[in-house]
Amino acid sequence: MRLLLGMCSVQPKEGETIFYLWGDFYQQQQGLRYAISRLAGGERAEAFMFQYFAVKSSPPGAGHAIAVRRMAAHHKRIPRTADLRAHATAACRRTWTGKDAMDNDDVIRKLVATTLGIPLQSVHDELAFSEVAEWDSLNHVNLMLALERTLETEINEDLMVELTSVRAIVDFAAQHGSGVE
Amino acid sequence: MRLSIEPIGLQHKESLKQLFASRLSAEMVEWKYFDRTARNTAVPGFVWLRQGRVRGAVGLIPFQLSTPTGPVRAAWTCDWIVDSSHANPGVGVMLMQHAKEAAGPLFTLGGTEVSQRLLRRMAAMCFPDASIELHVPLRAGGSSWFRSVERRLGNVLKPFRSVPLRVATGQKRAVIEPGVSDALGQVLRSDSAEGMAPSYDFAYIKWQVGQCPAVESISCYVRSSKVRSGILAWRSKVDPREWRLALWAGDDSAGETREVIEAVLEYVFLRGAQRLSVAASRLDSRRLALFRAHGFLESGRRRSLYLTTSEPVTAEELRRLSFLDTDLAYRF
Repeated sequence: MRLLLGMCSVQPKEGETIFYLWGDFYQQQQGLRYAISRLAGGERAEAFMFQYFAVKSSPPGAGHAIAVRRMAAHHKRIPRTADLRAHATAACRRTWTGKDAMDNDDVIRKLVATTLGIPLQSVHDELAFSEVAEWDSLNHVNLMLALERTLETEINEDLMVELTSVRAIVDFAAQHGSGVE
Repeated sequence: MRLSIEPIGLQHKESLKQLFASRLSAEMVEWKYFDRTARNTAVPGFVWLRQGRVRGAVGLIPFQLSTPTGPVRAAWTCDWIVDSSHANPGVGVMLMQHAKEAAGPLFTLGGTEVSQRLLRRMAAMCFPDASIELHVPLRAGGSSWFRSVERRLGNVLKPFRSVPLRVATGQKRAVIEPGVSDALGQVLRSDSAEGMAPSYDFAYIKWQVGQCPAVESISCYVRSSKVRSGILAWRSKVDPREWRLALWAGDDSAGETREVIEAVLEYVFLRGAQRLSVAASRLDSRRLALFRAHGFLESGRRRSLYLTTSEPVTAEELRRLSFLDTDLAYRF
């Protein structure tokens, strides 16, 4: 998929939905398809015009940010290039500062706390399997199932025996989240 | 979640022996998981494979459960193990999940502290202290008191272990035969429990005890036109001091039942036994009273019973339990 320079307004207008996607290029493609499928609701994606903008991250490793704008189905409006660039820049800046990444980390930590039945404040990155009584074999399975549902990805046995700490789970989620609304 | 969990098959034999090496000999693994004569085509268990090797397993011993509404296919679980369970979290749970979906209601009796902690949360029903052990001390070494003192004093009391606590009383009318006698097959059919209970057929007990490489067995019954009471007794080949028994008694067989119990006590006593033990359901008040009347004392060892099933079930506690349940027969 070629990357095109596009634009979108900062505030979504009626009929518009903004998706922020981050990850490597392949993951962005996957995320884009996901976003389109969510928007299209079964309709063909060609019914919508969209333009997207990608800004390479800095520092290295912070990932890309893409802003996708869905055009209203009843009209096709070409957004102004300047608006989209500003919006995408702002989105990237949030990624660089880790704000969005932090939001997702909090989601994962809350998932761990809820599944294990422990206070959220007890969930720190170094928390690992069997360090608390609640994180036993049975709850580890429950946690993996919850993670599969949240991230919409399959977890095989190699992963199940590796995702034994909060840090490992957060890192995994950061790489495999398919999209955030 | 995708795991490499498969039913136990011939292709797993060598790898399974390696996994069980610290707890079961190769011969025992062969008998327990690959001798299908008594178990037909029932799945003997499930294994978890990693990098081509068996790294976890759960064994299944199928049996028929007698219920008020008819017989139900069920299974005992055994040998629930994961290689380095700390490094492979969740695999044991997934093994049990597979077993539950394949084998109908699963019953577990006792288990390690870790497994029971998991089972208390996984099981549909839990019956604490469901199985009671009783024993008759035949020699000093078989007495619970003597053993507790010996644990504190070490081998000082060793010479006194053989001191008899009963005297031989002479020939009994009951017949004693080596192995699992066909005569027991008659009394199996006539001995039924009310409510829910395992219903073991002759093939089951022949496999469990008669063909088990770790034990030697005898059968005891009163010879008559219809055998109404019988005992299967066995001991470990490694340690001949400990004997166990399972009793079957039909209706109106009080006299024969007394005779076979006394005959077995006499027989094992004369062969150097220190203790004869029996297991029973705590709900089986008739049996418990019978054994207590013959001098059996409660050992203090109780096992909880867990029922795990994927179907909605209304189950009650099993009214008949014995050393033939799960793999207790050879676990002295």
